[in-house]
Amino acid sequence: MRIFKGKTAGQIVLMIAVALSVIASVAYLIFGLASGTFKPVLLLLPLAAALAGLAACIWHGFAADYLFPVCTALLTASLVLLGRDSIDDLTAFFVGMGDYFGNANNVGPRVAVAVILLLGIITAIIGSFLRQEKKEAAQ
Amino acid sequence: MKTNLWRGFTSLTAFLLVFSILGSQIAMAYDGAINNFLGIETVQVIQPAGIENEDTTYFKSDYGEFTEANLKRLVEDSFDQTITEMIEGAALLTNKNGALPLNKANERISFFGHASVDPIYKGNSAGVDPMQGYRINFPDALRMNGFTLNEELVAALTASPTTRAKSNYFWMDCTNATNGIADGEDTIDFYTPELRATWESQEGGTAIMVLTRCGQENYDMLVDNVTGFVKGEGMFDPPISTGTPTGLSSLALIQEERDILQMLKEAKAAGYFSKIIVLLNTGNTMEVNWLDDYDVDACVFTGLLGGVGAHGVAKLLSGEANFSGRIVDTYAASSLSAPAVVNANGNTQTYVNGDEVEAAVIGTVSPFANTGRYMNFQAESIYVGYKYYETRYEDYVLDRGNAGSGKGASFGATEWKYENEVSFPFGFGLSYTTFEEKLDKVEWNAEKDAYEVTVTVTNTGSVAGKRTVQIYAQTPYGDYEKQNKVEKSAVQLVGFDKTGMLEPGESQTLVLDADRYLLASYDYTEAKTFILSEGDYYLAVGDDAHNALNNILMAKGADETRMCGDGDAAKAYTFHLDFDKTTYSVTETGTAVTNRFDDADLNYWVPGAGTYLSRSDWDATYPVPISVTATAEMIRILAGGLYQKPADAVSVAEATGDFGKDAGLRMLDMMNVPYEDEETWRTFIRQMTLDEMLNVLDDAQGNKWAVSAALGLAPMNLGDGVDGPNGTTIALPYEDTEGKYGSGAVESVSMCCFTGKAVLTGTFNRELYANRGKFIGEYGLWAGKTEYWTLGANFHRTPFSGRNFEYCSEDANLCYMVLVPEAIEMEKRGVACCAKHPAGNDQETMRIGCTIFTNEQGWREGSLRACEGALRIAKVKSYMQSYLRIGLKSTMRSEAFNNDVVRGEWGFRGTAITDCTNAREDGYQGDYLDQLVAGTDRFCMTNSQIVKAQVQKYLKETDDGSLVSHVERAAKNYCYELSRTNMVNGMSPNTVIRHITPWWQTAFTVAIICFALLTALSFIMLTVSKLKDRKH
Repeated sequence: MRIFKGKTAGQIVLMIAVALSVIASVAYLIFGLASGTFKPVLLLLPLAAALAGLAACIWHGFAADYLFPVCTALLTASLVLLGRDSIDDLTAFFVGMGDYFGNANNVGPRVAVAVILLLGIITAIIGSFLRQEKKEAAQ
Repeated sequence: MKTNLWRGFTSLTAFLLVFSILGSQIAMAYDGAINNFLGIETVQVIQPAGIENEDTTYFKSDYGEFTEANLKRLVEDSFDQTITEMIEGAALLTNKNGALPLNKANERISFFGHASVDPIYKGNSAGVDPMQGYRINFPDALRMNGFTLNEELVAALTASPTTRAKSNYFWMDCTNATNGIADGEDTIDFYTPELRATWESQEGGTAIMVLTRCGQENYDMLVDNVTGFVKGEGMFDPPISTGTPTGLSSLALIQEERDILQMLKEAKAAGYFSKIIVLLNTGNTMEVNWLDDYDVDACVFTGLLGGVGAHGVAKLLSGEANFSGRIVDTYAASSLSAPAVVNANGNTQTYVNGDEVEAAVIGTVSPFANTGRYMNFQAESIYVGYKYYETRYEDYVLDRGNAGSGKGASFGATEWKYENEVSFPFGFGLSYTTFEEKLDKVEWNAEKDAYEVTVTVTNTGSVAGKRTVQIYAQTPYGDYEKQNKVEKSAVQLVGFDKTGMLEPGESQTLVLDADRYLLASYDYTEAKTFILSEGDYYLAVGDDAHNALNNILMAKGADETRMCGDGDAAKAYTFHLDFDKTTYSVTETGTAVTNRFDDADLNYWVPGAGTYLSRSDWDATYPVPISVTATAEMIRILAGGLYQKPADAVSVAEATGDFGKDAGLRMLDMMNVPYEDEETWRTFIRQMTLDEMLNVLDDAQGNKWAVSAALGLAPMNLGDGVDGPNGTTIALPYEDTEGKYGSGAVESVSMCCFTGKAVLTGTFNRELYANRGKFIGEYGLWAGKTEYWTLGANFHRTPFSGRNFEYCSEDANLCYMVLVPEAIEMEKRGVACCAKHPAGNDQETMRIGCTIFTNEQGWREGSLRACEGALRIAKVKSYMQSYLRIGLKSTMRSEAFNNDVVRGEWGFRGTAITDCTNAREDGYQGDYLDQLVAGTDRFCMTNSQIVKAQVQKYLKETDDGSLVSHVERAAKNYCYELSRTNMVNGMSPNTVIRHITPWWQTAFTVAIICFALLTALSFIMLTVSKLKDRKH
């Protein structure tokens, strides 16, 4: 756990959020391509969130604090848009209307990606509340 | 100070803000569905003072005021209708030694077959399930009608874990169905020694075996009912296991059924049963060439029961009622012998370059697979159902056209013989009594353009009964027809009627109209219109199609030794007509009838690629599986999205210059304005802005966007389903306190679930057809529904189609005649009757985007004829198009179909709506502009007003004012249709219609504002905190 050495709790949590964002991106990429439902925006948004989170981890300039809500907002947008994109599959799953509207098989992977994104959002928010620098803690 | 706190709050509020903003947009996109789910009305009708003194009920119920007592009368009358449909529509196929009727005083009934306790009430598609307590299965019905049952067996069947097709929407729950999607049945192990003891304890009982078969929307029955088949998880996913072919279709018996029937045969031989009765609770036909093999005494087609239709079965079995129903399809020994099956259903072909086609067709925004690669070459032409079997039979008898060839013969036979191919012919049905039919005379009535056929029917038996009278025609097949590929069925139904209840010895004389139009044939190669052939014509009465043909053959002096069954020349009438290519070349609208579907012929695109079946040589032309490579031009058309701005298009500003000007006209003023009064309609419609007109295009199982206070235009409320539309709830209770129909109190009444379409059609009773329409219309009127997607207007092109239960018959002529009374009576109640799905929606396999190749004769005398009665004669106000293509184009973008034929030739007035688009934004079905231009007015389930958005985007980008005229047409059609519905009930000139914003939309708005303020506040506080930190 050397990468966490010397890091504050906030930084560690934020790094987890970044990791979750990357995982969500990769998971969506695999699922989207395999299922033929890939939408670039759903890959780019969590990646952008990961970049914002990463920047907040390693850069401590005046504007760094604003990257936290940016990261959270991007992850939230990913989650909601994934939900929007999942409506047909959810319909197939819950209503049982065959695959008239979507593919019930896609629901599992979609839920998995959504859960990762949701965890990412939660950790990003928690991380925002936690100190990012040692001097911040002293204050 | 507290930077981390404000940073956290900013993140949290940003999360809430983004979530609420995007969430609200998604919710708004599905607002129709959400409002429907929450039961929210978005429109308020405000009546002026004093309206109670006006009669504003323009469409009145036959049942008077909307009270609980009157509703009870409606419910029970519709129950009686269901039971009567069953009594008059169930067909007795065989009845050895008078096995039926049963003596309910001393016969104990043992039921077999899982369907006895779990029958199919309605088809597997949209529609209403029977009300709780009024869903009567076979044992319930027989018990309530005084029979004694083997109750232990009933209880065991009820407790069996076997599952099968359910009557709710989109089932796929057949855990015990080892045979593909055939219906679940208990294995023989289920009948344990203890259970066998329940019928072996006494001798002389009656065994009733119930069998089911029913396809489903999106699923045809299987042409090979493989063993070990495991379907894919998704509808279009390949099977997990394709299993092992059996050579038998899913319309044949499955092994579980064979085992049970064998057990019954052995029990009968042992004396435990005196009779074996088979009931066919089927939405599709079944193969029943095994009845003798299992020593079956009687077989009855009951079709789909509806909620309380089983009572009718009980009354028939007991002899309280007599059979008079006829089957509306040929029961072939092997359903695979239908030539239409060669390239249809599970035999649907793919283009050789299917991947290339698919790549061009599939959308990128809405990628929906397999909407391009499949194709169906309808090589059978007009030879569907009995028109194939009986025509080939005549040619066999007359020894011509190589009819005896082994091509198309079943079970590996080297010679085609009728008796090997057909178990029961079209129109067949027995009775507990016998009748004699006498063809008295035939007279030409020029005014009606029909032959009046006078028939006297006498009950020669010992019990009362009704008699279905059928008139068939044979038209000449001479040199002209052979040279010009004009095919002729040896017989075709051209008229029917039904007697009243005739007591023994009683007679009734009926005068039936045989519409001469039905004697015409479409000549697509030479005259390119309908022709009356030169030569001798025959009109004949008959017990069924086969018997009528035998009567004709006897009149023609055929060799009796080659005939199957008897004929009577006295029951046929012959006359001569000269060649006539004029009479039916122009319709009542003044529109020429001519070739419009040349490009639906495979040979148009790939010359010589396909051969159509011809009676000139059955051997050489019998269909074979087709193999075709799509050309580049074909792929271009298949891909769609071809609409382009015309060179002479006006600007949008020019096209909409006089839109939005109040002329003082309201919907109420338009209810009697003819469609052809273009000036008044134009003035009315142009009171709308373009934006308002665009609101008519989209649908969310109804339309609440196209509401106008100024025009008095209220929402369109609708329901869906052929046996009884869903979504019809009347907030009044019902209970059958006498236990006549069922039991239990119902809080809110829902639409009656009527019998399956083949049962209703098989009554051959126009009064019952009309009453079905009347009752559905009444429920709609009571529930405030303005449109029902309810008139099944296709035909049974093959026995396998997943939705044959929704359509009338294999005979397009019968469909043409049957639907008219139902549609007219429904619309009299102010409920627009939407026919679905003209045209060609006659298979479910790969139906979304499958190409249909056909010649124009087959098309016009088949699929088009099946919906022609509804659209042309009954003049329904709406039709829902097919998912399949006509040639390379979807029906949605077929101008030839929507504009030239339906509106042009047939004079249809109203709206054309697509089948469910699922809000696709591109790909097949997503080319909305093409569809709008081709005559489509409404787009089913484009929930978030996708079409409106696409049209607006296109107009903004191109300034193509020519498209506006199509939007205006759609708005006119929409308003025309609604103005003829009960939407106008309760409206006076001063009625105000007001939009109401649903509470959840307000909640979203408030949430967004609050979260935005909190986010801004947190952001500011974060910045302040950071500045303070910097100072420190």
